[in-house]
Amino acid sequence: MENPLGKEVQSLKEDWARKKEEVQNISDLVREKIDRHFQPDLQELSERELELFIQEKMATFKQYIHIHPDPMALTSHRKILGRPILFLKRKFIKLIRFYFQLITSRQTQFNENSALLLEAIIIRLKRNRQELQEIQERICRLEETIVLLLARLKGLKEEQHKQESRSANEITTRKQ
Amino acid sequence: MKTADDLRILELTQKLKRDPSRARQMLRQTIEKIAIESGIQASFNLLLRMEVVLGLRRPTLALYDHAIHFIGGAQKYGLTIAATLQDVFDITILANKDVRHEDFHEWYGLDLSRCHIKVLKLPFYEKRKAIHLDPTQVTIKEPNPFHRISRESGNYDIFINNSMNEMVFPLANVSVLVCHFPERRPRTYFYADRYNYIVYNSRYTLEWIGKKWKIPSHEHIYPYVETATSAGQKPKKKLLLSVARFEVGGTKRQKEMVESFLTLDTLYPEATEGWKFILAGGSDPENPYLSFLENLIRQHPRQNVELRVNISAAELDSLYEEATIFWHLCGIVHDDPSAVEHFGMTTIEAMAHGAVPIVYDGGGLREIVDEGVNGFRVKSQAMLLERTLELFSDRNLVGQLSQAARKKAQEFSREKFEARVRAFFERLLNQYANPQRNSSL
Repeated sequence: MENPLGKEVQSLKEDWARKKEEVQNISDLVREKIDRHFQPDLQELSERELELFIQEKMATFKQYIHIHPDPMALTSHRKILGRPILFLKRKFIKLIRFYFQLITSRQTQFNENSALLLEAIIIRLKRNRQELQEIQERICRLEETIVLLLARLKGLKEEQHKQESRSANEITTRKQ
Repeated sequence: MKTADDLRILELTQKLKRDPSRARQMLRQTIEKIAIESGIQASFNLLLRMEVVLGLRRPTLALYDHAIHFIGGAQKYGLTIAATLQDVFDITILANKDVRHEDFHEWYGLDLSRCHIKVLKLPFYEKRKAIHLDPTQVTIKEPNPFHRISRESGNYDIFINNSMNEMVFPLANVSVLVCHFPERRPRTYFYADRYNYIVYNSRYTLEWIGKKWKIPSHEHIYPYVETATSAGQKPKKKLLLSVARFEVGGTKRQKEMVESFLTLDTLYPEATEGWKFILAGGSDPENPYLSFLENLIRQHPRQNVELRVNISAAELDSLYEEATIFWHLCGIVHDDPSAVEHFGMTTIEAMAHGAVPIVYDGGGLREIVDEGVNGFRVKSQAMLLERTLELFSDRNLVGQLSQAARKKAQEFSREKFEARVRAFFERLLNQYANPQRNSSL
């Protein structure tokens, strides 16, 4: 590379390649947020996609049926006081667990029933789909049979027509 | 790549030409400014482009496919792009598993000796000892394992993502996503809309890119089939052929085809007298779907249906040569667009050999078979039988359609594919290497 400008570009490129390596996140490399949240439009989903969606959502739904206080979910940003405060808060939550469950037991019951009801509806839907599929297959078989019978009928009619004209020819020949 | 980059490069080169003594300072100032505005990658990209604009080196191109270590149609498509462009670009093939030039030669007969291969293993899949890298395994709970590829993409002028994997965020100056079909809807780590260009393989794929991803596509390049065969040397036989992989889920619809033929053979045996139905295709060992088909055929008293599994290319070629009619029903009785044939390579192969296709009226097959001109398209199995009987009884029609089918297959030749690839990438390179004030790049 004789060109001094070329040398400059190349040396700069090496510098910036090093800087690039030091950056951990892609978002920082391009100075923008790259990840987004997408919500599916349920109306657009195919049967297979709906099936997967239902499975996924049911699994998440079942995870949250039982409500328990989780002391470990508590965190603190305080550097020095954080730990003792957290310790006390966690102890407090453990102490009131019994009373908490008294309040949430009805909610848990409601959640359990909702999950069961949803499952029942899904089972009924699956059975209906299965029946529909069987009916479709039967219609398909019937359509095929009709096509073949019509084709055979056409063949037989042609054969009959041929025979009739042959007989007519024979009669005419005999008369002559 | 925005027009702003073109303007910046133009301004810079003009200034540098006017005052070369201040070149160093001017360049550094501009690069620093870009880094503050758009990030370090943008600065690096500008330098990459400057090198090409000033003619300091050959442009570089990286082709990535997370399944390139497997033999497949989409991989053949991508690697043929690389083979076509290797004299224009300095090409690197990015793989996630070990793969050699010899493998590509053995699988596809492609000479990629002037391309480099770089293997970037992904710890997420290595830990799981996964041979097949399934992007659907990645959830929002884990960091995106494909970011390693994203980072690598930023070291090239042009980056082509040939995978069915939209989780690679492109960092190159020019990025191209080759979409063989939009399998997934936008969800975690979806970046298809971040590519400069979307290349699609069929109008069916284009339609679904619009429906599922809601983004525009840019360039249509049909896949190719090797149409230069010994077509026409062997006499045609009373042979009905189907060529498709025996998928465990039965998506290629061999069951439906066998059932239809058996119904035809049982209810109208005079019509099928002397005819044979052969289903050829690849299969994994211990395939329950294949066993089911074998049972179905075994129960039939007339032995005129055969399965030919994992046969050689020569044997397949011979079957194509002898076949009069070709059946392909992939997509029938299905509402899922991904289960419909996205293109239909085997149909073109059959047509190139003069077999008259009767195919499902949907997906990419609509672009290959023109109804009543070079074959038939059917919506149901009843229609399939109706059309088949028509061909059984009309030799002239078979001859006419067969000739038209051979002609149509030539539209999907390798020469045409290469010409389209060259035209598209040369246009990109021209825009990239010659910045304009009103650039559309």
